[in-house]
Amino acid sequence: MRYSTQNYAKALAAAVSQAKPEDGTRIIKNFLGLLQKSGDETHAGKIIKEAARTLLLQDGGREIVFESARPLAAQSHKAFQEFATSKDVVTLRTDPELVAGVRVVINGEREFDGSLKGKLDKLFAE
Amino acid sequence: MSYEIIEKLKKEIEGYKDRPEWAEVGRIIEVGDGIVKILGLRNAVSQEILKVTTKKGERTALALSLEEESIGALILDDFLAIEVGDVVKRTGEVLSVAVGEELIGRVIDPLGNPQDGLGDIFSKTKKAERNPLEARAPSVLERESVNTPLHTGIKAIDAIIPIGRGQRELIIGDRQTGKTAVALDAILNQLHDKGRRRPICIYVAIGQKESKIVRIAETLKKYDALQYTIIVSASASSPAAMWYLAPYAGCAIGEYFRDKGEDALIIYDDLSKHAWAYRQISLLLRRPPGREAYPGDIFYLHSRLLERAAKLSKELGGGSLTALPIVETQLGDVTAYIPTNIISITDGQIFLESDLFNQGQRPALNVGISVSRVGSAAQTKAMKKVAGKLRLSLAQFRELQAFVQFATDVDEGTKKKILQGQKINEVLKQDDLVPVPFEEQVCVFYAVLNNFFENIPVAEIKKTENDLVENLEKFHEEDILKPIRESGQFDEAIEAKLKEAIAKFMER
Repeated sequence: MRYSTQNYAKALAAAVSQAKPEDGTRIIKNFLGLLQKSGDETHAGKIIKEAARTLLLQDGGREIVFESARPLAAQSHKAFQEFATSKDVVTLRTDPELVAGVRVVINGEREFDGSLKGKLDKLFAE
Repeated sequence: MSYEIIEKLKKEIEGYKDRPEWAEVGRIIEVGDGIVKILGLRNAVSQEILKVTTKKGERTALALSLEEESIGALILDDFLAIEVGDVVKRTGEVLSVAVGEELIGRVIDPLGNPQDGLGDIFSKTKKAERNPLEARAPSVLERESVNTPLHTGIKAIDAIIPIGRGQRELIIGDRQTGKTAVALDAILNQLHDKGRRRPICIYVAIGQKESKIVRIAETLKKYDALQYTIIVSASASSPAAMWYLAPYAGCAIGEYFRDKGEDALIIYDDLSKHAWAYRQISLLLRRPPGREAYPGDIFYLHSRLLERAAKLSKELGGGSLTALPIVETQLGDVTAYIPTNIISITDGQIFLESDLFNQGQRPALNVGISVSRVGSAAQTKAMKKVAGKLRLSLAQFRELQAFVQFATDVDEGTKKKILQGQKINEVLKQDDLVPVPFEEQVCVFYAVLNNFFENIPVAEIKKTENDLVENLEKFHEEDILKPIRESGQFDEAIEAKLKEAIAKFMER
């Protein structure tokens, strides 16, 4: 890649946040043209996802992922929605490898591991 | 049996107290050749241990490059199990190695794991002290001048290029010139150097063949030297990460003894391979290459390592760490990048030359260009007395060597000097693994410099020297050798006795 994903994403996020709403399509079109020129168009999806994340963080929002071993009941959904604010993007995932319990990851950088798998891993590590 | 195991597991599970907390995590975004790139972990520090959770279990990594958006880390375990997307967590600890007296006599890897098949080193019940691999070198005020000799048992070195405790003396030469042999003799001689505190010896093998490391361990064991030696092994088959960490691990172990007020000797065999490993790691981390593709901080790699070898002041216990780094040259080129870097860092160098080795001069020391910047401050008074005359005689001989083939055409005085020089050269020749205690060296040099061997042909000097030493050990241990060994002095009384003893020996 000519530039890193992070640098492309930052530039796109800055351009989008400074542009007027009616210029949105033009910005995206120009950006895709730039990627094509640099030969990096295959990474467009990754870059746009990263740019969306950058914009979310700039607005004070968080990307929150709730992972559970089994599909969550409705009460649990409500509890997790209360944990998040209106600016946050919440994703619910099922990962049977967790065995039981829940794991919460915020912005891909902070994790709260309340799963049984996490406890067992810690136990065996000791 | 299985019931007991189940009950034991039940107890452990019931007794397990878990306190889940928020933890900082990152994700692997690139992996390959022992290096990973991690996104996240913004608060990770340099040299911090990171844990990578893979499908095949946990792997350990070392944070090396802290970049704006990512961290470049070195994998310390098997990296084949690591995949993109694996979660990485901080441990909050910098890389350290367990240190203690229990390490003596053992062979370990740079992470402190035993390699000799003799079981665990430290007891599981008692937590071992740990020293960080990267540590600050002692400051100017924390040091003292080098004033105590470290005898290597090699006559040419102890007389002409003396090494002191706390000094850094480079051993440099082409392949197969006897560099490791010099280092091994230095270790073996510590058993015979009874006049001083015996240093703990640490041999760091960097990129050496496993068979060579085994041979060295067996040799040390055979000569009873393993009882005060530790071997840190990063063999040729181990990853570049281990080659890179090995000298720092050895130094951390040496610092433990130094800071306790004891003496330690560390041998880095060899730092050329260490530089290659660091170059490989730096290129994989995409750091900009400089001269000969080495990274820009290649000098700092070795300077920060070697500066930790020092003689501490009395207030800090008076301990010392002496370093003997080894560097391999190509075709005798000491002006290459790494050799010149290390020459400028160390307090002297011992040059071993292939030509001298092939001519039969072993150890193949070129005393003309070898130097010890500490000099006679690291010699006993006894050795100082004979060494000055020795250096002068050798220097004169080197000047006159061109005339050797025309010896019949020169005056008597010159002929005598040439013959004297040839005899001194014969005396300086020494077999491997036979270090000579310094008190015997003093006696032998005294004999050759005061013309006691005048009537002995050059070809018989070696035999005469061995016979003289045997004679002194048998008949003059109490009145000559012991006083020199214990006091380090060579006063008139001892000199008179030695003169008489040698004269009597030569008459037989």
